[in-house]
Amino acid sequence: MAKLLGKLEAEFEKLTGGHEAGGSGLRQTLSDTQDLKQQLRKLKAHLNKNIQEREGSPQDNKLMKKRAVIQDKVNKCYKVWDHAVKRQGKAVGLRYACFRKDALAQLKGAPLEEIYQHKIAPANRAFVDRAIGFHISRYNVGDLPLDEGANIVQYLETAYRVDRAASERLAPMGRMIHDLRRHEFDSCAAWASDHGDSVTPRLQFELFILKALQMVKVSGTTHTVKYLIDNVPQNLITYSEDSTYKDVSAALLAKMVLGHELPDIDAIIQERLQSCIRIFTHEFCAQNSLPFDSPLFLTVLSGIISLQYFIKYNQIRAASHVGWTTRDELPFDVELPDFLSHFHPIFICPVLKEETTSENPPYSLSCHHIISKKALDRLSKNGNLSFKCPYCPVHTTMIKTKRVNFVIL
Amino acid sequence: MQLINEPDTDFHLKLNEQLFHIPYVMLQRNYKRWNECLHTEESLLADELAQFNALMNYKDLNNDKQAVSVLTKLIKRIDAFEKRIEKIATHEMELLDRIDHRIKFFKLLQQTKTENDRSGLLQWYQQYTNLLICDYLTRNSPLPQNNEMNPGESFLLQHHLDKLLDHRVLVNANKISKELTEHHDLTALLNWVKENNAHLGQRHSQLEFKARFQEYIDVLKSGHHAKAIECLQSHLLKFMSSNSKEIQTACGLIVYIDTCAELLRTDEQQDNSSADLSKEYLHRFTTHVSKNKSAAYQHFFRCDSPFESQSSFAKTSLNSLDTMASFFNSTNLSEYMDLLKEERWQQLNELFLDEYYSLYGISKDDPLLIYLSLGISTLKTHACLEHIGDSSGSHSILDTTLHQQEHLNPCPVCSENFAPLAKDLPYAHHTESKLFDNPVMLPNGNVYDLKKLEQLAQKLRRKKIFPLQEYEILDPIDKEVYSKSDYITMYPT
Ligand SMILES: [Zn+2]
Ligand SMILES: [Zn+2]
Repeated sequence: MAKLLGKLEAEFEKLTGGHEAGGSGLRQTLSDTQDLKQQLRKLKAHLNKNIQEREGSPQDNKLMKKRAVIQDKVNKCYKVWDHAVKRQGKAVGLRYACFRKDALAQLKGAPLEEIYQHKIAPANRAFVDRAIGFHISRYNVGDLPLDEGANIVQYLETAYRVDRAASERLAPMGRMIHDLRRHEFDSCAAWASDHGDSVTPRLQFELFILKALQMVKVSGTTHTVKYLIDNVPQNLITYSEDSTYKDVSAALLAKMVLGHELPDIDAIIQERLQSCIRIFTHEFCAQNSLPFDSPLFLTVLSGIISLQYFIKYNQIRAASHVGWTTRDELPFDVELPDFLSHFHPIFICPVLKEETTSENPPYSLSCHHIISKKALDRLSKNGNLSFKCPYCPVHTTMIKTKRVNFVIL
Repeated sequence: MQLINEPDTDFHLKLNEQLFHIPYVMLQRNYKRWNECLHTEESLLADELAQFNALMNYKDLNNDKQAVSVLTKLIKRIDAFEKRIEKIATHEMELLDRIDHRIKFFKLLQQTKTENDRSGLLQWYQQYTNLLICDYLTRNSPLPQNNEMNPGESFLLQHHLDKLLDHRVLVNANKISKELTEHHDLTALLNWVKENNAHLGQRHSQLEFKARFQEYIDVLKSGHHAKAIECLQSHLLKFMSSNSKEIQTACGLIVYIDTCAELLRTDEQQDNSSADLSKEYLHRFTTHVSKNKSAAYQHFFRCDSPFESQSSFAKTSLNSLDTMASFFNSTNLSEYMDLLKEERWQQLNELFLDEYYSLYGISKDDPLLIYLSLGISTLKTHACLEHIGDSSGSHSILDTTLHQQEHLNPCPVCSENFAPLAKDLPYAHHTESKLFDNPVMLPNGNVYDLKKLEQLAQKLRRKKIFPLQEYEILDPIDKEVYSKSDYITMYPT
């Protein structure tokens, strides 16, 4: 549900909608003023004419009457304008006040800075700056408005003050993506073959398809057929079910046999290009031990998700007048999505409900159930030579327990 | 409607209240300007209209001709007025447009949720992160040199996000702030104070006084005593009721500095004749004040203090020493020294930012840093930061492959830039294990995901990095070879 959003939208509509000239109504005074100006100009012209005519026949009563009408009109149109402008001004003021009361005031929540306890020390700002540099480089390096031959590292440094250490590692990737976007596939293909076996065959297939599509578009059919035959990647069989491969073949057939152009070839190329860039980015980052998602993005996202928990906790804390219970561990569990929660193994001892650490490591029993060292010590406290597993009937002796180490690959 | 357990749209809206508050504050200011403009013009127009009527009331040709020229003036005035309100109305449209864009931005968020569009949602958060980065860069970048744009602003423009962030408001704050801390220049701050007197008055702010006080100190430091006194009279004395103590100190400071200068002059005029000094007096004086005094002297005159050595004291007249010592006891001196400290600029800057941000309802701490702090804690596990920095060892292909494997761990907390930040932040709290499918234990106690372990063995075999039999696997930690028959299936939970 987005009640507030709906309310905000409705109130904004009230503030700006339904006024002839748009905006809150201030613009209306503008057109009224323009009207006044026009009217006064006309009246001035009338008055001038009237004066000229009276110079000819000074005692004409009709002219004198006309003159009085002009004066009257000048006063009247000013009055009308004055009234309208004042009324509009007031109305706009009211609309503003309503928007504040009915929309803005509803948005007021707890200030962000009251929610968190651990500020990032100013001395650590340099690390934040570098993380920003990596983030900007990672997501923009292939998409910069670069002139021919411009230096990516240089550009990022002057435009966004990105630290060279961050951009230099991604600049080669950026250069190759720029090439791909210009339909120059050779640099990327060379990189892929340089890295031979360690690059997935998928990238080579994507490059093959892209080049073939490009040839269908621009070269003669014989050229394309020759390319297709000479360069078929060994793994083509794996991807022969791929729909684009079929598209290419179909397009080629249509062109060869029927002389048809594929109508949406550009769209297909574009789509394929995006997928190729994505795969290449993955490969490049993996080859260079760089994270595919920027750590800054993942961290900010985790922070946003956690915020609800922090706010709830703070409310409870405020109501019950207690301080934070622990300094070195958050007092609540934040539920993160899968892709943010499986970086390291986390083992909660099923007996003590505590996370195991290097001080309190996990131990396996002879039944291959696992409990923490502290729990184990408790079970064997009475000097028992053997004790029962808390989860199954199997008995274990201390000798048969084994310290285990969870490893995520 | 949650795709990744993210907060709902209204929550985000509340969190970003300032995105609507700032343009609203600007709208109000714009409206106020409109009212002022209308008010002054109206009375002038009414005056001219009265003149017109007065002339018309004579009902003769000559006066009528004059009335026409008054009418011309009136029309000209309306024309000028029209241009002014046109500017105001256009500005209003711009501000409303910003609000409109922001509402649409949050509608986009809502839409991804309604449509269950997970990748759209992540893209939205990418945009949001970019906004946070821009906010941070706009606030914190050093003053741009020769026509360079603030990096935050260029990023916004480049990505067409400029309507989603009030960058000019932030850049302006940054400009005034950096003029203070980098150039010790008060001009921009004093201008801002003047423009925002009403707001500052409402908050009973000390900003104007502190700024003027700093100005005074700075003028004094540069040796312009007359100008300092002028500054004291015209800008500081009006704060006598609220800041009497500081103003007293300010007066004391000028006398002190003046005496120092006086001393220097008499010192130069005299020769060595007055060598007959009471040793005890000299001693008392040196121990009492000389240490602070030398520092202060160096501060003011940017040259070596004549009080540094005993021999130079011998040159100084007894009389001036007497005055000095009685006038300035050491508490006074330390107070003066405090006034001259560099930190005062920093404090003034903090005070300014407080006032500035409060005016627009902007959060004082950088939102990006807040999210990073919360995010790191939420992600930080006990296993984090353990492998950082152990890239030693031989550089065989096996090592590099395994090393790469290990460093592929994309944990943001363990990343090179966040690991140092994470040290001081609390760990996440967990009540449930988060492991992997098919855990198997090797005889050495290491527990792996069976599938991943076999994939690694396959890779090593295929690339001929390590000779493994079909039934063998390699433990990447102790680099021992184990047989698949060694696997022990585990039941961790
Ligand atoms: Zn058991
Ligand atoms: Zn980690």
